Amino acid sequence: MTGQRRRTLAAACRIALALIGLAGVLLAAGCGKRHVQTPAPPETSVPAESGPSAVKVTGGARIVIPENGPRVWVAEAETITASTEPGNMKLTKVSCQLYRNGQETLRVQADAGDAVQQGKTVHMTLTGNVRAVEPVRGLRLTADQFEWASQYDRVSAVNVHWIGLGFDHRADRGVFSTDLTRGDFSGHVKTTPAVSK
Amino acid sequence: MRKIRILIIALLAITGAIMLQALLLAQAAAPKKVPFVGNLTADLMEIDLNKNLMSYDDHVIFTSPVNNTSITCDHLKANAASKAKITSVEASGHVKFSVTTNDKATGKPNYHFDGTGELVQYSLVETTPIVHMTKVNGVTPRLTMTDLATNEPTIFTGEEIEYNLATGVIKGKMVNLQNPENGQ
Repeated sequence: MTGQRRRTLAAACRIALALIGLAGVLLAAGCGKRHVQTPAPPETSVPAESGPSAVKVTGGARIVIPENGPRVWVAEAETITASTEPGNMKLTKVSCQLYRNGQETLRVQADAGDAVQQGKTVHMTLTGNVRAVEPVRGLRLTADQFEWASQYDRVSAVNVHWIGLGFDHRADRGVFSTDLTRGDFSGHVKTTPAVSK
Repeated sequence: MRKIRILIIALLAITGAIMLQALLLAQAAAPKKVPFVGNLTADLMEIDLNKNLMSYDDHVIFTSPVNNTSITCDHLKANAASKAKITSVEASGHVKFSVTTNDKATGKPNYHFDGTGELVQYSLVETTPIVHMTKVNGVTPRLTMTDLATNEPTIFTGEEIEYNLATGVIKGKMVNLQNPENGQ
């Protein structure tokens, strides 16, 4: 085998491996019951910084989980990066709705987030300018970090600020029911009258 | 015809005035709750809106400009009956509180109260603040009332002491009164 033929064969093998890898990534990203709706044709690329193990969707994307049956989680994000680990996602400029027993209990926005989907359950962590609003009583919460697991009626938050019914509660940490009506605050807890706006 | 029209208008006006007066009287008679004015700090806190409950634990400090109130204790439960309204607080565990009342006529501080005990209830229903202290775990509550005009303190101890800040009436059970100035 000549050197030129060997190089051609090696290049062909690399292209084939890259295509197989990309197909695997796309299959992994599409597995489970996650349903991604994109309002506009998104740009899909393999980001250089994350290597060939992730697929990035930019230009806005919408995820509905599960695709059929009572909703658990609906998220919209500016970018979604799906890794080869099935169900793992990184989101930026995320806005989502959390559901419990098919009812919307909380709307949350944040700068960034990580989500892991397994079947019909979702575990999500959000960071940066987290803002949550409970739609029935208008209870509000802001935090630096936010964590939610759909199988539990519980959200936890760091550096939390809870506002509702004329009260304003702050604390280092908080654990709440997903409708924010029950909560445990800890560390530098402070209650003041809410400033009406 | 014109007279009848005037009569009808007059009757309507009288009926309206009576209804308005009845509404104002009903509003005045309805129990008023004091809006939450102040700060509450603690290490831990629990809220349950379904039970109208806010509960604080460890290093609890309640301060309010209303009657210049401050309460420190180990545990405090605040009953928030409706939006931004606290009807009562119940402080327990190493409770210390201080309240200063103002003279209604002059608006100047007239009496200062310092209290210690294991269980203190501070009721704010119908805008009448009532301090109720109860003997718990063998710890007898103690209330020191100082007349700010004379700086003369009067000390009350007893199984139960209740002081109405609006009327100035002190009630109690097995209350001992001591005036350090004259030794009584």
